[in-house]
Amino acid sequence: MKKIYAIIAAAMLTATATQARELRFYLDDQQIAEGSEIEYTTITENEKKPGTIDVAIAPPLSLWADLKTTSVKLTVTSLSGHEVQCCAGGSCAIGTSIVKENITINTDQKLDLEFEYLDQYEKGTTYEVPTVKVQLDAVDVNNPTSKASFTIIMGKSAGVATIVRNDDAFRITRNGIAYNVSVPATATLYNLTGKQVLRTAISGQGTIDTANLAEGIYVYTIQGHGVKKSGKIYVF
Amino acid sequence: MTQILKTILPVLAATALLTACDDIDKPEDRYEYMGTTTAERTVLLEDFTGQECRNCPDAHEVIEGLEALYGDNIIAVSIHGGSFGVPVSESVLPGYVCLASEEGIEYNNRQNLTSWPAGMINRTGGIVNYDKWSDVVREAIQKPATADIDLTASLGNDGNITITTTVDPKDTFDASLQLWVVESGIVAFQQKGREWLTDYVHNNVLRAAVNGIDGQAAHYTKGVSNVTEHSIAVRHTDTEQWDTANLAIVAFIYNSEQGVLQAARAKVMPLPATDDEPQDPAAD
Repeated sequence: MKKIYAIIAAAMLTATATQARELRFYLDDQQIAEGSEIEYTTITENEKKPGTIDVAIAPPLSLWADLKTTSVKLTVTSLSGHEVQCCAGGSCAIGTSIVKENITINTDQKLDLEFEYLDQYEKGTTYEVPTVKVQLDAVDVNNPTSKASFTIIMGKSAGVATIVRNDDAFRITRNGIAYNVSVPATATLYNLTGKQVLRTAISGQGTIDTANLAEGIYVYTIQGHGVKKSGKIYVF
Repeated sequence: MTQILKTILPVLAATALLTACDDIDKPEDRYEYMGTTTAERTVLLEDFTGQECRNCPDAHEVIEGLEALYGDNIIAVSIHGGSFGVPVSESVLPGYVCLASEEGIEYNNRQNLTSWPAGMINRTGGIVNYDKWSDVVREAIQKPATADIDLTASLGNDGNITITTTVDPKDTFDASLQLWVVESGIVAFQQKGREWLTDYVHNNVLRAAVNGIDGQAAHYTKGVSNVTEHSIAVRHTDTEQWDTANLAIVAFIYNSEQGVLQAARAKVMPLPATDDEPQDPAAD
């Protein structure tokens, strides 16, 4: 009889413990193969402090679990020695080795890892785009067979880097693209295949709604009387 | 017997699993009644934060909720510093306002923090994640205070803030009195998620320690009032401009054994105009 009670108790405990059977990393909507090495070459520049350009390399990484878990441990190791930042799970940490424990991921949900590399340089000087190599490992501590890992190379890879510069005239915000133009103009957005995805008249200050645009880099042009401007913008 | 067990056990296990959960029929059944909370004292919440910390605004929202709930019984101070704080010395006024004071940087460093935001309530129990602040504050605020603090702060025409602190101990103990200048309503940049906000309103920002980084040690005798006076000059420099309309003084007494024993906050009031001073003609 004691054995029966023990077995039932074990079954109940197993059922109530929150643990995933499978963990997966994603770059945007693309699943990252276990143990693979991927590249991300988009660099965003902003002048936040006058005279200083802030550089951000922020791949849209997320971690998915098939079942709700509250015991995920995420380890971020900078193999190239560059400090990186990770805010997954609520608090933000920065360093060459980051460990976050007891992360909660809901069933069939992706958790944004809020991961990025940050740098800055003096405006007007030449910036050497770095090659930042980072390994990410995730494991459900309550079910160690549920794990995932990969390596990402960010910034300059094989001589390729895509730099996106934000400026006051045309910059991305949480609510869309905020513009500030001195004359009435037409703003046009193209995706990276050259397809026009948005065209709208703009005047003075305002915001262009980007809710229907997928996250990613777009090329923009602004044309008006005496005004011709173009660049790249990262929509999130 | 073995065959019987093989049949019965899965049935028993399934039954146990299926009946293990509570039935929740009504939405109100999802909530747990916490009872009423009676505030017996004022609680100090030190919020270690930074303008480049993308999740720190979430902690600020928790503070706003606690202030709405507990009013004057909760005093939150946002201490900018650490890996995501930007030193005041890097300010390029008027548009690029940085908030990590020397004291704030020192207080952050002392905690050996590895992630932000982080909080400490009444300097007891160590660092607490902001998703636990409500629970810890609710427990702390119901404990009786060991002293009362009466605090006044006034701004003089000479640009100095005069602070009078009266501590009325209900017991005899040794503790340090700490006085801070805090400012609210500061419009400055803040990283919030992926967005860089340039018009974020910062509240309860630690601007300066009036009486040293650790305050002043004193012996408090039960039933004997302890009155002290301090002053500090309002700062108007190339990198720091205090708005005197939004300044307050925070006072608290603490020791290593009991943490913060009591806290108080007083708005810095301008001195009333005297009869000799020119009156506003529009007032007639």
